[in-house]
Amino acid sequence: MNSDDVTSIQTQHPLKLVYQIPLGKTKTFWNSMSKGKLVIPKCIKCSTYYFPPQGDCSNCLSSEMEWIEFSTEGKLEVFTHLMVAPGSFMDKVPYTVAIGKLSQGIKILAWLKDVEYGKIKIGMNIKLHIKKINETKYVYEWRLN
Amino acid sequence: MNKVAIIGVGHSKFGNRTDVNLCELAFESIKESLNDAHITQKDIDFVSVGTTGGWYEESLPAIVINEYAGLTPKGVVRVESACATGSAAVRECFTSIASGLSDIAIAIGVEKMTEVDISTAIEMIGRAGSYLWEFENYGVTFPAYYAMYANAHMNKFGTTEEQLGLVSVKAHKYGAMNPLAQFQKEVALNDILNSYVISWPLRLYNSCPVSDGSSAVILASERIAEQLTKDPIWIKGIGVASDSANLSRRPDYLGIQSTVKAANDAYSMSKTIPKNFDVACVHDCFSIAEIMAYEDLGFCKKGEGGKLIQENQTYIGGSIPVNVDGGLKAKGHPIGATGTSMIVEITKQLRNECGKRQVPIKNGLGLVHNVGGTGHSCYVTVLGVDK
Repeated sequence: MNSDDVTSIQTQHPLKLVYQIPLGKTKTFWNSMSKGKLVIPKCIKCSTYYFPPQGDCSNCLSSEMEWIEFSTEGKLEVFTHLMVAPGSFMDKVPYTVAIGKLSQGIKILAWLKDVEYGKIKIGMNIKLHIKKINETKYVYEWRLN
Repeated sequence: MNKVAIIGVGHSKFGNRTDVNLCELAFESIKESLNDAHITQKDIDFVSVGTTGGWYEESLPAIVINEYAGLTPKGVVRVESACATGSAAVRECFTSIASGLSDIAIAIGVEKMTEVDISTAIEMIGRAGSYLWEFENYGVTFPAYYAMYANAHMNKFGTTEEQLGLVSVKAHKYGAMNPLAQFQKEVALNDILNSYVISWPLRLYNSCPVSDGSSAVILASERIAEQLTKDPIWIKGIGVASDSANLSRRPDYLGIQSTVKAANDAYSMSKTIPKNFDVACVHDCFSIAEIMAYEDLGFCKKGEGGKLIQENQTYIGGSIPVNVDGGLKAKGHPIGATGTSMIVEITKQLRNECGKRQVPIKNGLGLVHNVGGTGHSCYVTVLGVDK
């Protein structure tokens, strides 16, 4: 192809998108994590539990929640091992994403850590661990129990 | 409610379309659909553009496409329903005509996904669940969501990796017969089973590609359709449903509940049952999605989808030919253009225009099943030769 032959143009105004997500309505959940506790909101009016936690009830539309401490023990409902990751997770592969069901009935999606490939099975006992990333950030992860 | 017919369709080549920009790509389908309907832009009352966007430079794609195709000053709206965006754009036109507000409307589905690098595209699709709870700390991708469905389905019903692979063998067999498909070559089962794992148990050849493409559908009222064409294809039923954003809020991972509801509504509106259909396009973004669609649409019992493909029942000549255009797997999945592409395919099948991959039309009925996200939304559309 002739080098004078223009076929495309690369845009010169890249966007850097960083979002600031408010956590005020679920701050009890985040603050409890720093104390190593898992708390789940329960609607005071209609008794519906929510995970992911939320401050407004999708069922009866009340905004009054009580925050109940849950046991972190559960069972593995489903999982997958990721070998191909999005750009921002490229240095983390392989990793295992799992949905576990707590003994008190709520389901949570998180990484399942310390797994041996080929040895984990749906139905295994797992436990949610709260992990400190830095002074302000905590994450939860499943581990075999 | 007024009856609504399809009077014109257009479809671009799907694939890596670095030869055209967004508007030029949409133009290819718009022009073909107008010619097919024997009308001009002046005859259109309403324009619906289905595109998810973000991977191309335009922030208001409907407006620039509308201008480029000479559709200004007609009313225009951009529609989004994840991977079911194209079907949602058609439904906008359908309701506009059924209500009597418009006589002729055009649904344009278009996506240009290759203007960003592939890892950015994967990142953008992965964020399309519940961002804070599934992506921020855990980097879930779309293959990963469907891999969890596959794992659960295999665990409960004994569905095998080989059965998943057979779905892709079929897709590539028919893709090889479709000159507009992204991949036009057959692939052997062994090559599929030996391709690398993307998100276990799903492999490269169990996954649809990142694609560019456009497709367009022109709809008209009964009065106009019967004036303009001898072979209108009627929209006999449309069902739409939704499900939770968070996968963890689904009761199980064995099927798509929004498919079941949308299908029941579409069957009820069109007074059809699953065995009536001559041909179907179903949402096969990953092989497991096609197997679940067989079950959730009622082509077989729950848990027997793997057996249905193993018995070749979804090939031409089987009980229900499915995705004989190559499906999302081989034809490609330019997100906003997929639903409109499926409606183009079934319209052409019902008109007997599909050449060597034409199915025998007996009952004059075809089905389009288009899932958004992980079942976040679903559109099921029933098309028929008879009013």
